[in-house]
Amino acid sequence: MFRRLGYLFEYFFRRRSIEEDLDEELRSSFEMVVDRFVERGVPLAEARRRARLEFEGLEQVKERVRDGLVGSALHTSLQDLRYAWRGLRRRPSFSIISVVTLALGIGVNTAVFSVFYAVLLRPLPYAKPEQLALLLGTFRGAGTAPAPVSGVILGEIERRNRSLAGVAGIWVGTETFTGENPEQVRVAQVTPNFFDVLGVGAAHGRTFIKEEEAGGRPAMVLTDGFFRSRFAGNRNLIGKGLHMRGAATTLVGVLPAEFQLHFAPETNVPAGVPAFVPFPYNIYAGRRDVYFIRMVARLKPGVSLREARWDLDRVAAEIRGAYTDYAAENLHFTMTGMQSAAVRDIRPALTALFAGAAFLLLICCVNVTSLLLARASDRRKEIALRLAIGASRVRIVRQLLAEGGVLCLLGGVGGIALGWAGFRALMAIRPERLARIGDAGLNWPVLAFAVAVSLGAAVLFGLAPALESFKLDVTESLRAGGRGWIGALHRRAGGAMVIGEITIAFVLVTGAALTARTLSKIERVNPGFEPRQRLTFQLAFGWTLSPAIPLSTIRNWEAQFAALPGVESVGATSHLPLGDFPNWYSPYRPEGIVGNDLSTRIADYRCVTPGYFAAMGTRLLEGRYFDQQDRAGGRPVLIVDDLLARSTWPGQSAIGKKIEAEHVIDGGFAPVSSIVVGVVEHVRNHSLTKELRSEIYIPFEQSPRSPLSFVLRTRVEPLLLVPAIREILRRHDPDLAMAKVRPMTEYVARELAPASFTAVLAAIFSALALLLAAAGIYGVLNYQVSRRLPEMGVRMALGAGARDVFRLVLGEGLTLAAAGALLGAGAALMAAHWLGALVYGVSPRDPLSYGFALLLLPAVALLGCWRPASRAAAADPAKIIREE
Amino acid sequence: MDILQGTLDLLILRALELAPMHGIGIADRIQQVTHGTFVVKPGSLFPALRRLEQKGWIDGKWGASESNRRARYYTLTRTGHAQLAQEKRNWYRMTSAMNWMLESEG
Repeated sequence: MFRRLGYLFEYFFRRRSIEEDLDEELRSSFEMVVDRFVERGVPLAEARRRARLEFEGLEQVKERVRDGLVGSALHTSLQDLRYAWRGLRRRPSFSIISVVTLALGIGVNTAVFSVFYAVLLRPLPYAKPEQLALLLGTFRGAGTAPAPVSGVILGEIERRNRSLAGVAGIWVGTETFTGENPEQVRVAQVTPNFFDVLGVGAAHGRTFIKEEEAGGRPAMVLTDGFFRSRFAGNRNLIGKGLHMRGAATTLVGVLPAEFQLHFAPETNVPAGVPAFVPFPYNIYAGRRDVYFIRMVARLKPGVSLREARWDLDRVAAEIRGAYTDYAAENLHFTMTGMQSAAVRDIRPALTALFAGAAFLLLICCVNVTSLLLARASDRRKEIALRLAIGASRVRIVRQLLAEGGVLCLLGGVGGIALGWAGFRALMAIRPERLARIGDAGLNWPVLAFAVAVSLGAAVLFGLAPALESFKLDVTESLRAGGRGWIGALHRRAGGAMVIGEITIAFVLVTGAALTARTLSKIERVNPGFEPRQRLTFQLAFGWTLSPAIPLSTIRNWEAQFAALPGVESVGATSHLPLGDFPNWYSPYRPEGIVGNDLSTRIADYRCVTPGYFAAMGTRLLEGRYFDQQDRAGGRPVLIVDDLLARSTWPGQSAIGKKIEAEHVIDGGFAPVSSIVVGVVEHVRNHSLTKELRSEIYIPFEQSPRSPLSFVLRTRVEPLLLVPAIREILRRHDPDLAMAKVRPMTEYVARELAPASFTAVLAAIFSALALLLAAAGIYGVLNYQVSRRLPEMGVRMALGAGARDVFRLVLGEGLTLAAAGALLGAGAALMAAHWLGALVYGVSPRDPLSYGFALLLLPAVALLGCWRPASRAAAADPAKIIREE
Repeated sequence: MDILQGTLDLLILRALELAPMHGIGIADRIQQVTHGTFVVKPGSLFPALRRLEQKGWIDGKWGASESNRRARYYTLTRTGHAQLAQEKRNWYRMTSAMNWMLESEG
């Protein structure tokens, strides 16, 4: 073993002397043989000839000696790489085009995979995240939509379950940090075990303890980011009281920097909540029909999600047995793995993008393979020559592989660089739903992916020409000077490649057309309000559900805002449409309707000021808007949307009907019988693409709720008004903070973001695919034309016109393109049902999108065919035939 | 006659057992002793010599030939001797086995 290592060492460091030894030994041996012939009386020249015959070529002998030596394999590989590098440098345009094409394919894939990995594959940053599950209730009233639960239900689950190591609740509200710069932020109220269930410890200080439950000892935990931005990361503050609007609260700990919430979007628990407090009151003793707590559970070790679901079915049955109201609601639980729930809505889009990127890579590979094949057939004579002078076929194949390897190495390095740039670009246009990719980037899995892709491509590229070289007949190709091979190999392979590229490009183009159509459909949805020229901002008035200021103050502000120059009208609501504030929805009971489904109706609730609908641009369909008479102590009234009116009183007017609806009274919820005075159009509160639930509006002054979001309809650029508003508020209370100061268009844009993200990427992919396909057709045809120039010359000599030759080449190209387009249409139709989740407002078999692709692809193919065809047509027959 | 696969090493080692020799000398010796049955061509000889040298069974040193040319002389090393003994035993076992097989009656 050591001896072998020694030889290996010797081989690499003393190779020169070994070679010299070998040279000298062979030379002297050769002379000895010559001497011997001369001794026998053979003339010197004849003696040398016989000796040469005996030696069968000194170089071959040397080569065989080298092959037998330890370390020579490694050396030969290095030599192959050097040789490949020299070969590539001799053909710079070929090499640059191949490397750029490869880098493009690998780069796009690396970038998209970075996002794919960061969002879908990377485990959530909690301890043993696979044990975490989101737990929601289903109530008959809410249909099948999973919903939050009441504190009572959370308590019952804690008590009765056998499968959970822990279950925690969270509800996100707002609170204002007072001081020099009053700041209103989202504050999550949680059960004290919340961080223990997630398995997250504090980076400094601690998380909550049991004694801090239900306002026992006011305590707060902050995220690292907020702690740094607001408190300059001053750790001396830990254990001290913070200035808050609600109550003096002790900062007990700061979370690790990477901490984020990862709840499913439909739970309305945003990722970036900066502050956490324990629920300040006893949730377990709260009202049983107020559903607001979102639950996260940790399964006991060894318990599967399925077993836990069975267990919770049993718990639900027990709860239904114990409470008649929950029995009437037909309470059940749904449980989903936390990770899969968090990415459920974004998964189809990302998967489609990933598939698109993979297709693009395939086209890149096909182009490079086609280039390499063309090059290999050009080098046919060279290869035949090398075989003839004694190179082994294995060696030739290795060199072709090495060439592919060098290309892929360069392409891979370029691709990773490009992928990094692409990833930064994706970060810049990412929708908020992809918040998770914020802390990702080029990491090991992504790099491993890029390397695997490059290696796969290398084998593919090297192998195709290498396999072909096995079929090479040495004498035949030396005689034919490298022609003829083309007929068999490249025309067949080239045609298949063109068809394949067009097929893939077709699928990508239809996909892009579908996503673009989807985006424009979503943009044209009537959301039930007018987002343009609307400024919105949120004010919070203390901890409690009811605002801790006189209602007249709010009325007064509205009047002052309305008086500002540039403002047309002003209103306010407890919940902005498309906002991320936890939804308020509850059962309602229409009076006078007989039946056993009285408890099964659920609606979104909003309290609004009289000016709200006009300011928001929500149209009145029947009756009236609220007015200044609809105040506390007045007759309880409400406005419903057309969905509720139609479903509750089909064929009748809703005006004057009575509904028992939920009001906020003295910081709690209570049912109040109210009269319908108006019907407005349905507002898309949660998603532009879904009519989720009907809506009930209550006059703000009859059911005042904090926080409150103001809407100003403006004649000027909305954000210009902010300083004037801030001044009005500051004069009233310097501690009052405006939050979420945004034009309403921003909420709409955020909803559009996933669709436009997909559309932009799909457009980029298909543009690249078209470009590459055109380049691919050009490459294949151009090469074939250059090999077939003699044939063209003969044709023209026999009387074919330039036009005929032009048509011949063009026809061949377009036939391939047509075949590809047909195949592509078939493939796209097959993929259509799978795209169903990604499109809105159009059929996945949308004829317009297919028509677009059917028009575009032949045009691109024509572009690719044009130059080769005109080159063939411009050929001078006399010259070509002379050269032959 | 072609040299049996794997027996070239044995032939070379055996040739070197008696005295150190250079490459052409080894080839001549094999041809001479086997009465011209085995002719070792340089194309097989030199790779084999290098291989045996790497295995440590023979050792090459530069010296002067009978006709006063510089030549590389190979000597059997101690492990070379052991290897030769081993290969001889293997060879005898194989030939007797072959003989039994070939001479056995139907």
